[in-house]
Amino acid sequence: MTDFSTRPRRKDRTTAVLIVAAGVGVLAVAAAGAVRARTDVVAGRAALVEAARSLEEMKARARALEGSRVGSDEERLAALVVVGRQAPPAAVLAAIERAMPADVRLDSLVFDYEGGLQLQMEVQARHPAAYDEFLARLAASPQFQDVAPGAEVRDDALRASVKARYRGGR
Amino acid sequence: MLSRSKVVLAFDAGSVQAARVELGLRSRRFAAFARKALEPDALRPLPLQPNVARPDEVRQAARAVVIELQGVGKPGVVVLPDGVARMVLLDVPSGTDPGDYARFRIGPQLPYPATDAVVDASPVGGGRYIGAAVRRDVAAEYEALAEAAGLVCERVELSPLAGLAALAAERRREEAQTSMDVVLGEAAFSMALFGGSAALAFRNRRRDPGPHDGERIGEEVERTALLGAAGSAPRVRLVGPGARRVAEGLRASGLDARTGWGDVPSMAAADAEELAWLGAGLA
Repeated sequence: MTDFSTRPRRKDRTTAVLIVAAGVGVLAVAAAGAVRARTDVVAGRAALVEAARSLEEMKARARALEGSRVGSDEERLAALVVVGRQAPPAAVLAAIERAMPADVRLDSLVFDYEGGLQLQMEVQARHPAAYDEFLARLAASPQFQDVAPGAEVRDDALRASVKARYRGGR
Repeated sequence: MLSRSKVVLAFDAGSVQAARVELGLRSRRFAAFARKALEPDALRPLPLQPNVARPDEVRQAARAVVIELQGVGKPGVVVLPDGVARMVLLDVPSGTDPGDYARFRIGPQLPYPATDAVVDASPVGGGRYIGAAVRRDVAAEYEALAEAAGLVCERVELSPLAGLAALAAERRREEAQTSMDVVLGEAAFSMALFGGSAALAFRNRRRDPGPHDGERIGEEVERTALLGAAGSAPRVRLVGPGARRVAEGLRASGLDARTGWGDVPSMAAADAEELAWLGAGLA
């Protein structure tokens, strides 16, 4: 394309304008991408801070739970004290005695306050029928529950172990 | 949305003409035309003397066509008529700037200082260029007319060079072994002979208005055709005022002559073939 202009002219700038516009467009897209990336970074940092905070909270809760477990132990001990106060050995012995026929004798008694008052009894009966009556009376008594006969040795007399949970009351 | 328009404003001895060209991304079309006739000798396309004999008349005509096309303030291409330039076919060495080489070759032949000339070159195939020199004062006259008409002058073209450049596509499509393109102006005309896609010869002659103008052009075309390969009659294509009539005369002489630019968007071929300056809007 020839040009016989006598002086430099304003050239057709459409192509240049299009190129510049395309450049501006690319720049705008790049800037938008940078802003988006920056926003992502900020959001990521915020998420990190939030995660760290959550972690601290979780640790704090874990510590609190540890503390509460300690508290449970204390409560358990307190419960044992309460149970001990509610079921003094004399009262327990009296309740057992009431359930015991004349031909049955208590040889030993173990008190276990874990999970209430668990009793481990070793008894001796002159004959099996007396032992059976003792078990029946224990099971029927409102002061006992979970009556479980254990090992029995039968010779002249009958020696047996019995487990039961003392509920208290009269 | 990405289209834009420009005005092509063409001057010649008998008229001022203009077209508004809509330029799309991949296409262009002529949206409107305007023409104002000039009184005889109001404008004389000459290489050395001032061309505008009656400035007011030519200025008014230019202003009228630009306003008619609503082209005031729009970018425009000014088309100089055939007859104002000295033109030469040049073999430009590879690695050489065609414009500089044209100035180097044409400068010494000018009857005025080379610094007073505006020189450029247009490729015509086979490593050849048509170099053209227009006297600066002459080009400035037309630029002043365009600016007075309200056009923002982007470029100044020479009608025959723009015409030959625009016909190149048609030449390639026809694939003739030997062909000749003739661009007729109102004051002068140019002929380029091609062997395949390479230019073989270029001649530029003034027209001689009168009853024998067509015959004389025909004779010049036939003489130019002799510069091609012996025994090979070229296919001739003509554009510009009188093209149809000259083509008829050539066909009567046995030459394969046709007219027009080929397919011109939004314009009847019969109208387009008489407008030599249209090449500036097509190329």
